[in-house]
Order: sequence, then structure tokens, then C-alpha cells
Amino acid sequence: MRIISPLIEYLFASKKMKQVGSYEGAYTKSVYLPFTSNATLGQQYYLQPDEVLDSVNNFITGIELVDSSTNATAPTVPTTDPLTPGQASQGYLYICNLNREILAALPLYTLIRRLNAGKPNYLYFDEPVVWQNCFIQFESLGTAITTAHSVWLRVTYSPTEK
Amino acid sequence: MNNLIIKRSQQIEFRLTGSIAAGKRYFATDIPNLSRNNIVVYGIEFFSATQEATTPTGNTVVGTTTGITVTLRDNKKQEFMYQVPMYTLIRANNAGLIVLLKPRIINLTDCYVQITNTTGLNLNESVAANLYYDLVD
Repeated sequence: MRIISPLIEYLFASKKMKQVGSYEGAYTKSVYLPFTSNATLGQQYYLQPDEVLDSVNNFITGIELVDSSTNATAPTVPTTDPLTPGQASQGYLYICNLNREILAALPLYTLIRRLNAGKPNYLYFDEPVVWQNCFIQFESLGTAITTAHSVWLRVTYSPTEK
Repeated sequence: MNNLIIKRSQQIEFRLTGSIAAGKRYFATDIPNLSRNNIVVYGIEFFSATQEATTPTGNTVVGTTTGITVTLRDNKKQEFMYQVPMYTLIRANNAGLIVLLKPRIINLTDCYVQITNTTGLNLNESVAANLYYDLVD
């Protein structure tokens, strides 16, 4: 017999908690944000529209920032260097809904999976996320981010039940 | 082993203003949309300067994490999390696990950090954290 406390049961049922090492999502894909000029402070860098990642079609279950130690080169055209952890510590990923309301502000550094002892970042948004309304913003740029760099996000998602 | 799922998050900060002194309390900066007793907090994560160099409001994040304790108060003024070392609440120090709380409505501006060791701390730096919350039904 397995005894579960009401609190644990509540956290599971309300999607506030999930087992580590469990099912992360049905699909995963990488998206890239290259820079056409040097990144500047306070600028919102919006992600490219992506029908797959919009909540109408799928819901996002996790995001990993692929850094330069995880993979040395991003397969953009031309190729770019993923951010280093030092560069990532300067920025945030903002997850937004249709009204551009910010649902979550996630420091980029903490999305690097290998620096979280391999633990994934689990996400579950009750409101629909509009991928093209999500953006990245840098609050300090002591270490410059140039056109040679890109933000590489690996997004895990599952289909929305219709 | 379980880990937190992010449903909504908001950056909060405790700014070291006035003077730096051991034992002094530095309260959380007010965030209007979190101050209406309309959110239920179920997790919290603090950040080191390595993880987050500058807060979204443009303040430098404290360079040390070992001389600070954290106290959270709910809307009934109860200090339900009292003087927990900030170091313990940093995900990278917990094998990647985020600290889960029994969900409750907090009074943000009643929450504070206390300095136990002033070494490495400078005036106007901020102690940065992310609150993970859900809206009250």
C-alpha cells in the first residue's frame, strides 16, 4: 500500500510538482535566436513565430538553454556559438500569453540543464502561451553578445487535447 | 524525488539600502500585482551573482550567498519560513531541485532577508529570487 499525504497529492494534481526523471513531454525541438547586431541592454528580442509551440496546438512542458559547453556550435546559417554560462547570466527569458502578459521570468543561466545537476525545468502554463510574444532581454552586458552568438533553446512539448 | 513545475513566476528582490549591518532586515521590494493577496506561492528559488548578474530592475546581484538568511511571512503575519540560509534556497546547491512550499498566500513586503555576515556585500546590491505561484481561484 502506498500512502500519499494530501499535500503531495494536491501538488501533483494541480500540476505544481512532478517526479524527476519522469516523462518530460511528447516531442522536443530546438529553436534559435541569432543576433543581427551586438545585443543591447533592455532590448526585447522576440522569438520567431512558431505554430508548433503556440499553446493552441501544443503546450510547453520544459525548456533547456543549450550553452557552449553542452554543444559548441549552433546549427544556424551561418553557424553561431551558443551562449556561455557567463553570457547567459546576463539575460532572462520571458514567457508571455496572447495579451503579452508575462507569465514567467526565467533567468537564462538557470535553464542550463547540466548546471542543475541534469534536472529538467518543468513548465505548465494554464493560459495559452503565444511563442512569438515570448522574448529574451539582457539586463547587463559585461560580456558582449555579438553576431557570432545565438540563444539556443530546446523546448519540450506535448499536443493539446482537442 | 519530485521537482517543481513552473506555472507562473515573478522576480522579486530585497535591496540592501541604508547601511550594511549584521542582523539588519531588508524587506522585499513591492510588486503591485503580487500585493493584492491574490496569489498562492508554492515555490521559491534564490540566485547567486553567477546565475544572475543583474536583476530585471537593473540592480547588481549580491556577490556572496553564505551570509544571508531568508524569512517569509504569510498574510496572517506568520513567519512560516524563518531564517533559512539563502544558500539552501539556490537550486544549483540542491542537485537542481527547487524548494517547494506548502502553498499559501504571502505578504510580499513583510518578507525579508537578514545579514549574518557583511563580508562581500555592498550597498544597493540586491538579493534576487523567483517566486513560483498560482492565482487564487
